[in-house]
Amino acid sequence: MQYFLRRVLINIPVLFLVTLVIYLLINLAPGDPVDFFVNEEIGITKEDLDFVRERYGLDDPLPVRYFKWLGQVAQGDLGFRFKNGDDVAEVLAVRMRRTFLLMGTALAIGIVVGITLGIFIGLRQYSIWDFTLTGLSFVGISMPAFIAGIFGLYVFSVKLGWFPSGGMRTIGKPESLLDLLYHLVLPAGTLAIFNLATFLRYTRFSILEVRGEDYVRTANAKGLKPPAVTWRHVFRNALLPVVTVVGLSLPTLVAGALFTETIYSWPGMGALLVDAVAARDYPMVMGIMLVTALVVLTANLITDLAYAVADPRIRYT
Amino acid sequence: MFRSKILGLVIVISLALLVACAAPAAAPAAEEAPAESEEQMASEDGEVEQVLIGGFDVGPGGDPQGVLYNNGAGNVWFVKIFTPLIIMDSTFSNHTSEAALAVSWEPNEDATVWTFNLREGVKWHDGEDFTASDLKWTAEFVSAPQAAVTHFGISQPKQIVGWTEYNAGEADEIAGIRVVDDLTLEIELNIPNPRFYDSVRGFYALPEHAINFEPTEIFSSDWWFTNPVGTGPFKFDSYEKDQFMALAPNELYWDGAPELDQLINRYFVDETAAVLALESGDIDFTYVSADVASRFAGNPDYQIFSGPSFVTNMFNYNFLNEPWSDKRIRQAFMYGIDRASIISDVFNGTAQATPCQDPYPTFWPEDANYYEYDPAKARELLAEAAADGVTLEGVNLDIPTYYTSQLAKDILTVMQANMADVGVSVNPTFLDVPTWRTVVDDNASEWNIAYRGAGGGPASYSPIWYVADNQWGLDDPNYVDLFAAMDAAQNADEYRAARTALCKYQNEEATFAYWWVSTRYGIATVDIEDFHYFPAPGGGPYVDRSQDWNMK
Repeated sequence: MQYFLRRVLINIPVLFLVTLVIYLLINLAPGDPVDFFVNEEIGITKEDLDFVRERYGLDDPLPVRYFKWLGQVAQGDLGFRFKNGDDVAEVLAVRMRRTFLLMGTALAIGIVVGITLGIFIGLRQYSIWDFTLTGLSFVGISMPAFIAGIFGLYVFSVKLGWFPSGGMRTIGKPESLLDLLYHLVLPAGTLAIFNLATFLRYTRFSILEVRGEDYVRTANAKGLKPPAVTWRHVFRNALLPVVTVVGLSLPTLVAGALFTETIYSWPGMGALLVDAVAARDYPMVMGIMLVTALVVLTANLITDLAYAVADPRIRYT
Repeated sequence: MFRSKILGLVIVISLALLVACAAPAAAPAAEEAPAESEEQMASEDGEVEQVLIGGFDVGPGGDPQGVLYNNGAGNVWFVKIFTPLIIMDSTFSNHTSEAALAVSWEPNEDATVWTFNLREGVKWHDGEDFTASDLKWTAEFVSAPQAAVTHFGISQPKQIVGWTEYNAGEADEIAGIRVVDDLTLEIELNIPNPRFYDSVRGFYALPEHAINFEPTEIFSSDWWFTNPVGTGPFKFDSYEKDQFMALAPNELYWDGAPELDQLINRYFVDETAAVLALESGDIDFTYVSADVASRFAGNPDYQIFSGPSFVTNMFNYNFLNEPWSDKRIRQAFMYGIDRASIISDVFNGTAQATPCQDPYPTFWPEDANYYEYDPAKARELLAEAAADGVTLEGVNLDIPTYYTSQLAKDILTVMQANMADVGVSVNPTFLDVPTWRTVVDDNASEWNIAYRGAGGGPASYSPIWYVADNQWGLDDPNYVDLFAAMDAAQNADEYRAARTALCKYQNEEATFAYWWVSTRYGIATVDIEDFHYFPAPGGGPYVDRSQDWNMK
């Protein structure tokens, strides 16, 4: 508990520094929200633009704007979007929920199927299964997300008509869990390919490494049955590197996946961040970054704690 | 044992979170739009409902999930719910304005007072009568000092008597907008303008009685997405943020209720997703780029709509820097770039060369110089200028542009190769709009050429690029005279002659490098009958008679 509290306290200044750096970076980017608003093909004078900047408080010095924002955040107010006046906290809540569903499903499929298959081929090195699944995992890891997305959409929606072409629900029908899952299959499946391939490869490698350890040979030599050796000695020890990779994947649960969200019209966090940056929507960018930083720090903490669960030898004080 | 329990707990919590995220959300108050149940959607007489789903915000004319009076785009969708004072004809081909809320309009003798006679029997979606007072109220609502509206529908508002004072908070009303009676609106200008009608094409009416927010909340109010009330052929039905807005027929529409039972605008982040949705049959219409349109050509399942963008793509030169005041340098670019090949090979013929900045062929002089590709002539002009000490040596020849499509990259790559052939090394840079504006608008002395688009109306032509205080230092008194002649024109023939003279002068001087007007496309399935789409700048507004659209 003491370790846990210490880590949480250390994270507070880290979080402050992250917001400061991000705020500086986004404000260093050329242009501002007013530059984005204006349709370049319509003539508009500089005076008109300056007028709008003044209305939005964009003429204040950078430090003043940062501390105004920080003061708001300290009171639990993330502000409003420049682009359309939406409440940043509300937008984040809605978008995170959608992204968590998409990325969580993909991650869950990746973990369950990837680790299972990784163990399966790790115990059957150089078999036909090993060659086939290892080869396929190369494809899964190498294929860019936008290619996999367009390919999946073209084959399963345009050509076969098995799944919808995107969105989160069938327009014109009442919302239902079944309809949502129907729309989730393709985007989550696309994202799961990468997760699955990654976890499969890590697990296979880890299993093979542990199987060569002395304590496994000892366990076999003392006459333990193979399933007991596998589950008690090989699997538990092989799990540690896999836990690290899973931990590193956790931030994607809120960060989202830009290409997949875009191609499947899944309005999540990835597309939101790109939209916010393009529009120089400072409050929205800062809101996303704040939440993402929080999740990264939390995920790191959870991963460290998970080591202790996976390996009884690890103790934190 | 303890660790196993923790692991199990983590798994259970994770699954619970996933399930919670998957459960349909309770609509927040702002989104309690009445999405009808399936039973409600089935028509009472048992007929199959006619539902048209389109990507109406896709493409350069769209304003994704935007609101009226924002940045001048999105009219394809807005005009279904709201109605402008007057409207452009269906293809812009005649460059005429047609009746919308106003059935006729006429100026006084010196064109300083315009009288708009409004249509009788127009009702708001909630049944209230539309009157001239709504128009005056709308103008004042969106011009309020706190509103910070960059584009509010009247393109030259400063011409209206009292607008500037009202906008600055120094007056309680716009004195120049007067309600004569319920069906007559008068607008007084501080200068004569015989073509003022063209400036009010985007001036939509808002209902004073149904607006429950302040001018400061124009961009943040939920009203636009939960209960917008207009006078258009369709009325609000339901909305799901980031996903779609659905409209129902307005039974009170003055020209008869629409035939469709539902018109839905589905939101897409990019064009590829919209095209795949069209091909999979999930939507019935979307904007598409030229290369995609060619893929659909000849396919009997789709109908293709096309038209000029009425946006001239051009090189903007920066006259604040030395070489650009020399006409030979400017003309060298015209001769050095193989425009015809770019149009035929890169655009696949889907663009039209333009002699000047004016995108409307009506105003192009018959004897215009189209600067046929002549690299030898370009080299000769550059050499002549160099002999007089005017050279591009050491000049920053980056070409910043906010066009970032593959088509734009291909075009500028060809231009780069062409100019390299005549010994000029240019470097296209592809930027997002805010960055581009910073480079071109805020660092006036640091850039030299910018690739951009320029639009405009057929009866109005903003002089801000060519006369006093333009940001690129162009100082040519001839332009002052040419624009003054246009302003002074008292009838259509005089105006056409004056505007053609302006085009001729731009063409001869090659003040900027005017390249082309591209063609834009929309694709609809053949299941839609009597459908009309025109890729107008900003989406129009133009006459589309959506009340006649129906599904086979």
